[in-house]
Amino acid sequence: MKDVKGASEDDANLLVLIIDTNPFMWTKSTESPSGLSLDNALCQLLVFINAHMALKHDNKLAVIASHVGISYDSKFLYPATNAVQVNNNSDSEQSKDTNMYQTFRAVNNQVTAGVRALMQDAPTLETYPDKGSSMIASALSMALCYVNRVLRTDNVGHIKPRILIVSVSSDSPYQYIGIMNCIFSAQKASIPIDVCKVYGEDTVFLQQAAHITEGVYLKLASPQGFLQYLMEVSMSTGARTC
Amino acid sequence: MTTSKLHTTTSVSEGKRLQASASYNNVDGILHLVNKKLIFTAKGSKNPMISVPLSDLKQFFVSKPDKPDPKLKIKLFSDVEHMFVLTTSNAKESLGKFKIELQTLISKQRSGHASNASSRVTSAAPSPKPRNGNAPSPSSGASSPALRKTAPTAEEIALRVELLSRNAELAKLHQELVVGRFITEEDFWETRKHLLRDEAAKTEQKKGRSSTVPDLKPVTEEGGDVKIKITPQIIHDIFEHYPSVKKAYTENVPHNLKEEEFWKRYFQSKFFHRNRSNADRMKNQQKDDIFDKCFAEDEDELVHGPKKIRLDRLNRLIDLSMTAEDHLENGNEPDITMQPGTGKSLTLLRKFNRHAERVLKSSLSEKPMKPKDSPSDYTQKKGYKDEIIIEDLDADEVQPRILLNINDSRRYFESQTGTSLNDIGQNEQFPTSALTNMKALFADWHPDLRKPIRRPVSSQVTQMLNKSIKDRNNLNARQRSLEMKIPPALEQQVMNIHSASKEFLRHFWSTVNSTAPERIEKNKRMVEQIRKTLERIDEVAETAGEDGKVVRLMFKHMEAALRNALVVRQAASINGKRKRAQ
Repeated sequence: MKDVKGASEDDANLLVLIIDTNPFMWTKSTESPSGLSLDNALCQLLVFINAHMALKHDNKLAVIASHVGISYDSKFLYPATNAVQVNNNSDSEQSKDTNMYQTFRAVNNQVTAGVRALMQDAPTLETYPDKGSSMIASALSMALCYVNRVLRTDNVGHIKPRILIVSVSSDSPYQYIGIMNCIFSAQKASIPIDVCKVYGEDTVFLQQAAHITEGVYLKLASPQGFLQYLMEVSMSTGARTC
Repeated sequence: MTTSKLHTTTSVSEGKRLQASASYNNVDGILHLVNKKLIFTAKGSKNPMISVPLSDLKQFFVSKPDKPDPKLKIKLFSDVEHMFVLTTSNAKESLGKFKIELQTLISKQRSGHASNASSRVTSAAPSPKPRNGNAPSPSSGASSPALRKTAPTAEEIALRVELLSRNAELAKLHQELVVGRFITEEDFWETRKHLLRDEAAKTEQKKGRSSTVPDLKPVTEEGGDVKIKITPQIIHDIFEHYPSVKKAYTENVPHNLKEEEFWKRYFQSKFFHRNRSNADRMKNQQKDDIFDKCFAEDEDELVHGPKKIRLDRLNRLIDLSMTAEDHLENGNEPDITMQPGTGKSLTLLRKFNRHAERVLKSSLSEKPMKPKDSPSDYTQKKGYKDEIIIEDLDADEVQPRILLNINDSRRYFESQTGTSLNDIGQNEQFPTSALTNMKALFADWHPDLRKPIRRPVSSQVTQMLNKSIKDRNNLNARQRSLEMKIPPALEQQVMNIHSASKEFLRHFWSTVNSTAPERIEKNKRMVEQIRKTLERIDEVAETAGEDGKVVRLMFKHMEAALRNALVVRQAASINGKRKRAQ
C-alpha cells in the first residue's frame, strides 16, 4: 500500500468516469461466457458512483461516454447538458423512488438518460469503419478539461482529481497521438488514470496511460463481479493496492 | 461505370502513389497503389476488399495495349492470383502508369530487403501481415568502414589515448575487446564517435589567464623576520599590473640598484603597502625616492583617470557621452560622486576596472581592435548598420514547406504500424442487429440497483484481489532480500562479460542486414564472438559453484538477447541459401 503524496483524509475527490459505450463491443461482451452486459455494468457503476458521492459530501463527479463514430464522439453524461435534463424532469416513473437521496437520483437519472439518448440515434454507425474502438482520446481530453475547470474554480485547493476509464474496446492506432498527449498532460498535472478493462484484449495505450500516470490497470478476470472490483480497487485514492 | 480520375501525387501523404477506378470479380471500386500496398476498395465501402503488401507480390502482368480491356493481374508468393480490370476513362494510360510504378517499387523492395522478401508467404487475406522485421534495420550508413578505410591520424590516436586515460570504464572495455583481439580498433571507435567529439572539444578549449590580482602575503617566520617569496611569474605579474614599477625597474636595475635590493625596497615601500589596511605601518614608512615616485604616478593616474583617451576612435554605439538625449531628466553628466577626493573608493574602483580590462585584453590579445579605418568611415560603412540590426525584430522568413496533407489519417497510421491493431475490430462482421438490440434495450431502461453480486463470483473476486495484493507484497519483499551478493572478483567478471556482450550485439545489429562484403565479414566475426560469449557465460556460471544460480539470473536477459541474435543470423542465412537456390 502506498499513500498518494499529500493526500489528506479530508480532501474531496473528483472522479471523472469515462465509460466506453461501444455498442458492438458490449454486445460481444454480453454474448461471451460470464461476460457482462452494458445495462448490468451500468447498474453496478451507478452503485459505485453513489458510493463515491456518499463517501464525502463534497466529492465531485463527472461521467463521460466514449462512444463510437465521429458524429457521436464523446459526450458528458453527468453533469448533463440542458436538453437531457428537461427529459429527465418530465420523467414520471421515478416517483417511486421518492425516498432516494436527491443527489443519487439526479446522477442516476442523468446517466441513464444520457446512455439512452446515445443508443437511440445511432443508425449511421453501421457504415463507420472503426467499429471495434471508441473515442478514448476525445473523452480523455474532455475529462482533462473538466478537471482543469474544477481545479480552477476550487477555492480551497484541496480537491484530488482522478480519471477512471471503463474500457471494452480495442486500441485504435490513429488515436495514438491524441491519447499520448492526454496521458502526458495527465502526468504533468499528476492526475492518475485508472483503467478497468471489462472485456476484450488488453489495450496497450491504456496500459501506458495507467503506467505513466501511476494509476491502476485492472483487467477483470470475472466481469460479473465488476462492482466488487471497483469498490475494492478504485474506491479511494488514499490507499492504492493493486 | 463511373468516371474517375487518375492522379499521381508526389506528396508524402499516406505514401499514396496511384489510384484508378477498377473492377474486381465484377465489383466496381477503386484500386490504390500505396507505398507499401496494393489496395482494392469496393465502391461505397471504406474497408479495403483486398490489400496486398507489395512485399508479397511475386509477379504481375498487364494486358497488351492493343487488347480491348486493360487488365492487371498480380500473383503472390502464396500463388494466389488477383485480376483487376481498369475501368477509368483513360484506362490504358493509367495501366501504363501502374506498370511503371509497380516495377520501380518492387525492384526497390527486392534490393532493399533482399533477405527478407523472399521468405514471405502470405495469404491474400485483406488483413495486412505483420512485417517480417524481427531485425531492426541498421542505423549506420554514414559511417561505414568501407568509406573510411584510411588510417587514423596522429591526432585521432592521441585523442583516443587521452579519452581512455580519463575514462577507466572505457579503458577496461577497450582492454578487454580490442587488446584481446575480439574486435578491431576501428570498430571499437566507430560506435563511440560522440565520445571522441566531446573529448576533442574539451581539449581544444584553452585556459585563460587567472584573474587574481597579484598580491603577496608576507610570511612571518620564527624570530619575527618577515619573508616574501617571489618567482619570475610573480615579477611578471607585478610588472604587467603596475607599469610604473616596471619603469622604475628598467631605470634602476642593475646600474643603480641590485635586483635583490630593488625588490627589498619594493616590499617596504608605501606603494606595496597601500592596499593593506595596516595604516600604522604606512606612517612608519621611510622615504623612498624610487617607489614614492611610482606611487605618486600611479595614484595620480588612479585619481584623475587615464590621461589620454582618444575620443575620435570611440565606437559611437558605446560612447556614453553621445546619448545625452536619452537621459533628458538628468543627462549623462559625469557622476559627481565619482569626483576624486571622496575617499578610497574611487581609486579602488579604477584599480579594479583597470585590472579587469587587462584580463579581458589578454584573452583577445591577438585580435586587433576593430576599425582600422577612420571613424567617419566606420559610420558610413555597414559597421554600424550591422550592429544596430536586432534579429528579433526582423520579419520571419517564410520557409518553403510542404504541407502534409492526410485525407484519411486512419490509413496513414495503419501504414505506420505495419500491423493494424484496429483490424481486430474492423474486419469482424458486427451484426447490425446489435445496434437495434441496444436501442431496444435502453429505450425504456431503468437501472435496478438492488441486484446483488452472487456468491461464487464475489468470493472469486475477493480471492483474486487478495492474491494479487499478496503477490505484489511478496515481490517487493523478494526484491529486497535478493540483493545479489557475489564475490567482487566474480562480479568483475560478470560485468566484463556483460559489457563485452553489449558491444558484440551492437556491432552485430549494425551489420546484420548489410550487403557490403566487409560488413558481412564483420557480422560473421560477431556471430563467432557471440557464440564464444555464451560459452563463457556457461563456464563462469559453472565455476562459480554456489553463486552460479545468481550468475545465471544476472545473465538471463543477456543470454536471451545473444541467442536471439544467433537465431536471426541463422534464419537470414537459410533465406540467403534458398534465394541462391532459386
